[in-house]
Amino acid sequence: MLLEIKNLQLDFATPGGSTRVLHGVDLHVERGEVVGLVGESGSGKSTTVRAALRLYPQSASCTGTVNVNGENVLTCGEDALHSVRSREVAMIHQDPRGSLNPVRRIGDSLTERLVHVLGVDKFAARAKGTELLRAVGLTQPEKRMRQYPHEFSGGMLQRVVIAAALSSEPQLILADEATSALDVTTQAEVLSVLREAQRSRGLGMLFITHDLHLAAAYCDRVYVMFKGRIVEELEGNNLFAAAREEYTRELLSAVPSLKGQRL
Amino acid sequence: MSTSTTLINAPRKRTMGYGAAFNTCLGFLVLVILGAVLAPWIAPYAPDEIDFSAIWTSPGAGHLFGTDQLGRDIFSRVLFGARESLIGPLLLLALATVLGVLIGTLAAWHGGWVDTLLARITDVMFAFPGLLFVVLVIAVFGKGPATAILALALAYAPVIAKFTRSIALAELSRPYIDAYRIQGVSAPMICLRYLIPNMSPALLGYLVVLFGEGLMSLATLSFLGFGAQPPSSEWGLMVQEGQAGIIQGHLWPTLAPGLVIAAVVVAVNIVGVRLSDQLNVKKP
Amino acid sequence: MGKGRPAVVAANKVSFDLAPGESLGLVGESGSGKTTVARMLVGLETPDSGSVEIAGRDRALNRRGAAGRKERAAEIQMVFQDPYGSLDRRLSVSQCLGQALKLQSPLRGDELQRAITELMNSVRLEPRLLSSFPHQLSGGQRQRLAIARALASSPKLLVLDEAVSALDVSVQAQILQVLNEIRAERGIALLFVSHDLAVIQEVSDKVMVMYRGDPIEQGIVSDVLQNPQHDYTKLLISSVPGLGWDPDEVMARRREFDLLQSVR
Repeated sequence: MLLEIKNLQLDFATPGGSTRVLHGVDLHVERGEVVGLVGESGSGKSTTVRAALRLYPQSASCTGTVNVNGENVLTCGEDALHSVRSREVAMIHQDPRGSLNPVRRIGDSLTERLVHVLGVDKFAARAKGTELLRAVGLTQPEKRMRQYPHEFSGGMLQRVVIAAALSSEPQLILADEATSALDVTTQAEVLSVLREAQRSRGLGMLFITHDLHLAAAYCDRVYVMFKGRIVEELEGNNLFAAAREEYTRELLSAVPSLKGQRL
Repeated sequence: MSTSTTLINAPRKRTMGYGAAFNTCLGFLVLVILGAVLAPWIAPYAPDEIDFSAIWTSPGAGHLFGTDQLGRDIFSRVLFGARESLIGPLLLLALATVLGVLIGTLAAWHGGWVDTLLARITDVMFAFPGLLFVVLVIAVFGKGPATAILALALAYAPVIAKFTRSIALAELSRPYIDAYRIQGVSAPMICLRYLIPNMSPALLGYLVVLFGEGLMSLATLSFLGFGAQPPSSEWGLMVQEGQAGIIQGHLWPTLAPGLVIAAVVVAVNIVGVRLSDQLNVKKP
Repeated sequence: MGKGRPAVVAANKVSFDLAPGESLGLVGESGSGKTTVARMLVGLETPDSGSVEIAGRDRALNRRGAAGRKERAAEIQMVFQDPYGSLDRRLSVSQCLGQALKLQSPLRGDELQRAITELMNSVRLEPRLLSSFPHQLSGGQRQRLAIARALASSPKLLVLDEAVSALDVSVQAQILQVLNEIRAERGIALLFVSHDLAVIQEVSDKVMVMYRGDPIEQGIVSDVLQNPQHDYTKLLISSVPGLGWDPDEVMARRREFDLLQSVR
């Protein structure tokens, strides 16, 4: 099993005592699987994913287990944690401009992790970077390597971020609203690229989104989160039909659906 | 963003009583202000009481900070001098703020040539030594505390205008300004009633820091003889008058007002930086 | 735009008309010019040419003078995407609504309080929030307040610029319901600017699709969605995630469409 979260509880220290934000979350992601995590803002989706990489403040207390490729992230040493964060897992955020340094060339951002973290030599890293840019569907990758983020559109930039995420050959991808800021057609393009990469490399992916239609259409399995709990687990293609929990049904009924689709 | 993420990114809650340095500085400033207000009652001597029998006394029981070349009690002079030394920069800032905020807001709102003109003026002001400009103004209008304040206000206005412009631009990009425009509120009304009050927390923090600078500049002018005139006990002037004693080994007449100036400026800066942090953190 | 009389709203190449109580959706990707059209309508931007008419009176010019501004405010109002940013953080709910009301008519005391309560009721904002400040409200409550403020001048047309895009689906559904009620009860025409076809379908009678500044297709929502004529509209509809959605297929369509565009 690639990612296994068991009974994850997280408490944040607040001035008036501690606040529990995750109430025993259980979820798992297998190799080659796309797993959706849906819920409204404040439900704890992002917190769960961040906690899976032990990204929470020192003052917070976290119990339960998070296994990434057999390593318990919550209890392992700094070196093992560093290896999990830099090699095993890659994270893709909503805002690609926030993930890339605006004053550095795309090529430098792309190869940085390879050279400094994984110790690949510069020429090999550049070759690999170019190859990755081609793999995410960017034309003229050699030219792109020399450009700056501001010369790219949002969709192109998110592809660069995906390429950077793939550079360390991770096993698991955590995508946190990775396409929410994009136009629908661009979103589809980026997701097509991401799925191609995921399938050909047999990666596991945890896909966080607030778009229930997207989760249903894109994910193999979907977890529904509400107030720090997983309330239901469903097959993606059965999300709208098979939901039993009241919260899930309410949520699904609130979503406007497009009629007269599929031409 | 989810509330949980906000929790992760939220800085530790800051309270007013944050840090011993802040408390010490605040306490010191309160003491100085009290001293200035209560000077006639708590000062052991009148500031201009000449006593030729006690010239250049060392600090001691009779005279806390010693006496100067005319036997005047330095502690009393510092207390009385606090009034002019503190009110001066206040007036100067008030004048500079009115001018600077008006120009800065106008530049941000109007853009175009007003903005370009402001940019040119500030460029010139930054390139031209401020003190030289002030001395030029004084040369034209004659020396004295009023001219010194006016001249410094003119020198400070562009700095405040530039700061105001930058925060006004950020504020104007928020859609609530557009909402007021659509409601039919006139441009001057939006600026005066909504924009400026919304900028005031950021502005106030900046002004507190500028106060320290203003105090220094005014003291400098008095030291050079352009500002306060004898028999005033303005601190800068006291430093200048005490100079004669240094050669003869009497450091206190210079040291006492000098140290007070330095301490007040440092305290104001520490309090000001914290205060502007506080005022600007209030967003959710 | 008196009752029953159709009003004409036009802007250069973009032309559409809207009857009282009618709702038009303006859809397109980012950079398609839909927001620019909305901002020109309310007078935040001035069109280079063309005219905006409401009830037969020209609206495009940024009219000066208190009377002119007031008159325009009473005809057209706007709700923005960012509910927090569009509210003045120093003003409480009652101050915010009170000021908006007083701009239109010199209400005072009890009369003003009653008008404020009425506005809050019409957007279903609980009376206990009267003295709350924007930072104490939830996203949905903020957007209700923004809508109430827009209604203060009793406008004839309400422009909603991505007004529900930043909200959670359940909150979004409530706001859409409030908007539908306002439309039915007050006969206010709505112009819904959004990138979300599903939302537009929910609240609009008619839709206009924009692509790179040009309106490429318009008509009754169900007609356009079921039987789109323009290639871009087809691409847009097929891009929306749902049953049978396939990102690879969308990508292929987009390529094809871009190719056609570059040939033209």
